[in-house]
Amino acid sequence: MRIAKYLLLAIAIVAALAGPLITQNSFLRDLWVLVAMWGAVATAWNLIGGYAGGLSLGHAAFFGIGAYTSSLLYLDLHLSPWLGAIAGGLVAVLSALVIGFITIRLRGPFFALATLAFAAILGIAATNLSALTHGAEGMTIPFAPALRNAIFSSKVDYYYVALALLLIYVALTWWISVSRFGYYLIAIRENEDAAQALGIDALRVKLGATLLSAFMTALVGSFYAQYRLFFEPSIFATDISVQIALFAIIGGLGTVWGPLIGAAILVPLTGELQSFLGSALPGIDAFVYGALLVLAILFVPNGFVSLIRPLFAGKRTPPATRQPVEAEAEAKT
Amino acid sequence: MSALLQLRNVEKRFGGLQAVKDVTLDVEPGEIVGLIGPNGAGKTTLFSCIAGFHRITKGSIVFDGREIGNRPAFEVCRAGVARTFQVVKPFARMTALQSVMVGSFLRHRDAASARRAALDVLARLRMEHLADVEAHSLTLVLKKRLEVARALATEPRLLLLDEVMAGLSPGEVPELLDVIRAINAGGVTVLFVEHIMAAVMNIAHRVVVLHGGELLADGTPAEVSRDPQVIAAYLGEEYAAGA
Ligand SMILES: Nc1ncnc2c1ncn2[C@@H]1O[C@H](COP(=O)(O)OP(=O)(O)OP(=O)(O)O)[C@@H](O)[C@H]1O
Ligand SMILES: [Mg+2]
Repeated sequence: MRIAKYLLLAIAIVAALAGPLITQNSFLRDLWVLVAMWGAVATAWNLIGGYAGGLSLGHAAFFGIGAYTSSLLYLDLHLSPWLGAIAGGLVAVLSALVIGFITIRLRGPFFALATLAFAAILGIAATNLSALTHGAEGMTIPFAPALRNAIFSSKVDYYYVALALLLIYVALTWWISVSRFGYYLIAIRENEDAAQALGIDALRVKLGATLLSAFMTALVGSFYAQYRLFFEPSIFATDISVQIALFAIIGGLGTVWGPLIGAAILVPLTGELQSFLGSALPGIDAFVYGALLVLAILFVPNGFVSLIRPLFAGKRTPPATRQPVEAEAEAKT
Repeated sequence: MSALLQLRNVEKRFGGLQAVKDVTLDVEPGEIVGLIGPNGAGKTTLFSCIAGFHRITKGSIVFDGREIGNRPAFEVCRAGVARTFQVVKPFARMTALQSVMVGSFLRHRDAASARRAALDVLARLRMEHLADVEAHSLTLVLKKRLEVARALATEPRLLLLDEVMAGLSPGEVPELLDVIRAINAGGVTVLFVEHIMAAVMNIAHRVVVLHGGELLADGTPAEVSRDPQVIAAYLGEEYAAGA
């Protein structure tokens, strides 16, 4: 077990650092970038969706805000996208503050629907405010490779930028998960009343997680814009929000590594399914993808991270020494 | 004059139902006060009013010289009032230790000292051996005890316990009574709701009786158990005969 653990770690580190170098294939290199990128977004989503238990179906909003803000500042004011990304993060925080005040009191499905509507509204706005956003025609960024422009000729360079973001996000999540803020988020998810009774200002803590998550998501949105050099209002689409949530759910909600693992499984899967099946019968790839998701949720309900977690569970009490559970009616006495 | 908790003419209406009517009550620092009364008397509702879970429709609640009526629950807790829930509200997927740490984080910002404080509280509740057990797999009796541990971890000056002994076998009651006495000896004032009369009579310095939302009696356990109104409303003739 010990050896398996370190072997797995070593393989993961080498793969993460050298992964895209072992191939010249542009499609495969793109996959590495996308896995790191979506892994980072899903890790950001996980703070609110996994730890705090607020199922957001509107994270494409923050992603799109990041992309639009840095791109507009770059194209119209020649501001370096490195700074534009920070600006995008701040705009996302402001919008999260506004939407947070409105939605955060909502529980369960109402919160999910409100976030979904928020992203949909931004999509409509981006389409119609064409003087600012170029409307449905989309945003095109000229290919001018330079560090200052955050545009690179090699996908490998993009990969290391995405990897840096990803690692920072994973490290931040780990740090939160062992600190007061993380305990509070989980307590709110598990029982908001009980959390309040222990002195936790639940609205404030949830809002904090939402703002942080929005900022992190927007940074990756800016990265996406500089990587693809083209995007449209469809960047706010619901299927992007749903994908982000799915990565975290399939990988493991409220876990440090789950969202990345989910992205590492699902991003290549969508790509492969599309290229192998997409031409056979239109839509069949989406059908197979959906069926695989259902199977995953049925058979790995705690996410794929739960399959490797036993390797890393050092100090946890083995189930055998746990107290026997008596079947007992929890009726009010 | 310097009561720790002062309720003045507290009223709570749910629409047409008056669950708490004009309750005036003082709890002195260091006391253990038992709150008894038949089902539906308004005991839990009164707790929820004090703890900030219900808005009161009339009256005032002063804790330690500060008005806490209609303040949000987290503020009341920070002021020094902690409660347990009659219908337990566990953090199902947290271990007992993690659950208690959520409480101890209120006064200990860093994880290491919150953890030490939580372990200490678990030891006081005599459940340190359950530290790594997830809350959902505890028995109801232990979930109730975990509620006490969590609340105590916020280092309150007033602890509100709502039927934490329910479900205990008679043999197990004295242990929990000892635990509560020790908590009280550590400087925590206790207001508790309980139906097990032997426990109430054993531990309470003072007993107040709620009936139909109204305060029916307030006195020492001996006085209250002799009160004809209380016997008629709650204790029943057999209890009076046996006492
Ligand atoms: N949230 C609520 N909305 C409406 N009515 C309520 C609510 N909570 C309690 N009540 C009503 O208020 C009255 C008092 O209930 P409460 O739970 O306070 O009684 P209790 O003294 O704690 O009883 P028990 O001994 O059964 O726990 C009951 O008639 C109950 O139905
Ligand atoms: Mg009750």
